[in-house]
Amino acid sequence: MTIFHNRHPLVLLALLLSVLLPVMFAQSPMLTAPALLGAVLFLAALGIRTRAVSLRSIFGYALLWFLVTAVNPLFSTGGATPLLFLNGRPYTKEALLYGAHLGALLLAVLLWFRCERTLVPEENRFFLFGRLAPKLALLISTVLRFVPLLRRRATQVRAAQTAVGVYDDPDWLNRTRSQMTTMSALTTWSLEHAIDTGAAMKARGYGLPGRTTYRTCRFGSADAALLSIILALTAVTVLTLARGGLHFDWYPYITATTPDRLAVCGTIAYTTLCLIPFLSFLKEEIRWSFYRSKM
Amino acid sequence: MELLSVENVTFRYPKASVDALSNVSLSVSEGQWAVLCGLSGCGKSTLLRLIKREIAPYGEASGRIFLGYSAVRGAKNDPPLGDRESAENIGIVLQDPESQIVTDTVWHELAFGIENLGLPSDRIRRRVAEIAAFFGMEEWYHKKTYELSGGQKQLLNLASALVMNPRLLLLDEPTAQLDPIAAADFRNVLRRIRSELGVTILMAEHRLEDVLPDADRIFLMDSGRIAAGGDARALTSFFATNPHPMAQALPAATRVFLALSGGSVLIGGTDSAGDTASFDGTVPLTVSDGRKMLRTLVKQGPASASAGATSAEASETEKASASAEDSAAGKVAPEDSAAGKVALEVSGARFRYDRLLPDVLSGASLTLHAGEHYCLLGGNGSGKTTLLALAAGILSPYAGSVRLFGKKLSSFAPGTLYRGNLALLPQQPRDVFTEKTIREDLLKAFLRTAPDKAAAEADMLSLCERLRITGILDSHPYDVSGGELQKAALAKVLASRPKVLLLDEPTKGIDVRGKDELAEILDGLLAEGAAVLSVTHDAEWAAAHADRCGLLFDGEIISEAAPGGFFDGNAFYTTAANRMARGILPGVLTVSDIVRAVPEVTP
Repeated sequence: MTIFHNRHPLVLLALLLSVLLPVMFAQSPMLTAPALLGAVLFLAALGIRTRAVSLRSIFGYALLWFLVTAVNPLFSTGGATPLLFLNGRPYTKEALLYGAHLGALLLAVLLWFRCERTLVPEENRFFLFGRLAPKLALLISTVLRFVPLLRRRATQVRAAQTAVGVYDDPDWLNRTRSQMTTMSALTTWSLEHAIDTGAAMKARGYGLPGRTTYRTCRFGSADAALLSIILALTAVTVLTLARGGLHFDWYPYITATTPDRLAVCGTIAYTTLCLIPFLSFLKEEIRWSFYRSKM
Repeated sequence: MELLSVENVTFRYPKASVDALSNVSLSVSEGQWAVLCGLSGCGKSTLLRLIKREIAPYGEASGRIFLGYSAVRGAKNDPPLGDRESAENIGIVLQDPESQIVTDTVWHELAFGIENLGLPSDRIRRRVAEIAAFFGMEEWYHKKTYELSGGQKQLLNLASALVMNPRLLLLDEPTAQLDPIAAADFRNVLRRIRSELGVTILMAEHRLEDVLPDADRIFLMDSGRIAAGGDARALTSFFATNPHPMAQALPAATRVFLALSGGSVLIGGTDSAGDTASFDGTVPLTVSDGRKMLRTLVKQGPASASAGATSAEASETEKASASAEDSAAGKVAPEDSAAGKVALEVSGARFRYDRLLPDVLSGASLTLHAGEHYCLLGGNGSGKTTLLALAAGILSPYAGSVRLFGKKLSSFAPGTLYRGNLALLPQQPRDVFTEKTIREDLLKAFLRTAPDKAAAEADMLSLCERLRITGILDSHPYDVSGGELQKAALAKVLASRPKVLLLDEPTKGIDVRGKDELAEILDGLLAEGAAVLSVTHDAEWAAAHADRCGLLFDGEIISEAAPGGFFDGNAFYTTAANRMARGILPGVLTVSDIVRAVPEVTP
């Protein structure tokens, strides 16, 4: 879908870390806004392209943001401008705004992980682990195999139990008890499945000394170029943060340092970093429509 | 040269009172396709697992097993087979496609075995590429393993075993969980493996009709012993003199041959010895062999015999068309038919799993009468199981309705629909069990309808006696054989005394004896006025036991008739006996039909 499918997983990891670490560290809307914007633009573009935007997930994210915003002032009474008093505790404007920011930050982080999921093919991601800890990589692979299987089994068992009338007991206590035994049946099945899978692994020589791996990823010149761009932009961002250029205070009053030239550079660098997935998506779109027009 | 030799192997599971294998000896030559057949529980799987040392069962074993000159198990001075050699040289594919898959993607699954052997990356890639090309897997090479169909999963398991370049391939009922089309695909791949790669195959199987024509050697196992061994003809002659339940699992043509030669129509026939001589050495194994045999039989004899044949043919045709008319009439006005009142009615049901997905059912209608056994047939993914889920009230249609005794399923009060009205036996019988022993589980089910514990226990025991499963009541549901578990699940389903029983693939993975027992139980229920709707791929089963059959295709039931009219009208989706007798003996559905018809037309 995007250029990233061909990139070395290390580059993607670098991008993810250099977007997420500064934004979580700085707690500044100057970084949160571009981070959120970058993720939303990319996911929206992808969603429109693949027609896979679900209203439910948009609603879910909005609800999450709203909850964090509304709840934060209940826990944090810092801030100097009370909007109202609940049980004698102030519900302040600063805490409300901080909640809004916190919600946005949370969304940004969640959405970036979602971006990462669509950007990196699964096997590439585990290649990184595979290098460091091959056993862990295999474990993750078997877990990834098992989870959808367990979900399907749960549906089947629930359907089977429904049709022998376990769940339509008029007594709610019996109903709950049945739900519990269904869970325990699933656990039994999982253990049984684990034994069978273990046998299948042993049958195919798992445990022999000197295991090797199929997957090899080459770190090419395009990877090097993209990685150096990412590192350069990150360096500018980190420098700005270290100099306190984007310092932002929420309590007791909202105060921001007036941006100097470095802060502007830092913001631009960070924004560019956040837009890399979207820009690469646009580039691919243009390239493919250009190719198609020649066909 | 013998590739595999098993010498005097005896095995006993811990705490068991009898040997699972006793003094088993057999040998398989390089490049042969050998089949181990026998009823479930005869020791086939145990033997295969002993040969594949990594997954050998725990227990007391004696005897020797050799792969070539190396001992899989043997005496002290036998050269042992190393762990690496065992992993590399012996591949195994088991019954359940799901539990043998280790990783999440197809490519990784293929690579897994050779990764374990520690080959360098480029060698691994080459082997994986080769095997993927051999199996034509390029299309689904990057898929997730959980997205595959059952048939694809089993092919993946086969490919993952073959990628190690094994000399011996062990297969434990590999097609038992597959539908007929996927099973045929699987067997085709096996044929290619044997002929193009020369891999030696040892396969445990209880459905002989599909493997007999390919097998070089067949071993019949019975309670842990080898009862007979040899090629298909030798086995057939063994069955001719020794009655054995496995004879029912032979191909239709062979069963006809056995039945007729037993009645000396074929072998040792008095007046037409010249004609039948061609059958003496060649036992028919396939439908085309069977057709040749029938043609010879029906055409032989003087003109009077052929006149007899035509008159028999005419009367059979009349009968068939009459029965077709009967069922057509039944379809138009089911209320007045003698079959009984309408028990379950699905009308114009439409269903899809997601708004964006296409319809699975697009206006399916079906009527089930009390006392009637309706078999719903259809290809893979035609929506059979979905229709059953709608009928059971697990899913609801977005248009159309499902009524039980004239009442919508949704208008049944909680706690009434699944008590005394409706029950479903799912495709995986283990899904209905949640307790540690079958007894606890059944007792709980009976307690929901019985007034007190003593009554529940008495009801349970009497049903279990009828189903002949009292012996397994204290076992864990995972520890009993497929057929036994099927019956135990049926007992649990019947605990609520349903008037309508829905069965999803009731004969899947069950041996011939299990099928007969199941049919007997269902006949008893039908006689008591219950209605049975079973979804099945098993045309033979439907032909023998259904009152009415329906074909589900493209989301609708496109034809519906009594088995006679239904199967006789189908060209492909029909029984082997019908395909064999098509155009020779009309109106024939089962082997016993042929056996009954043949003496009429021969002099």
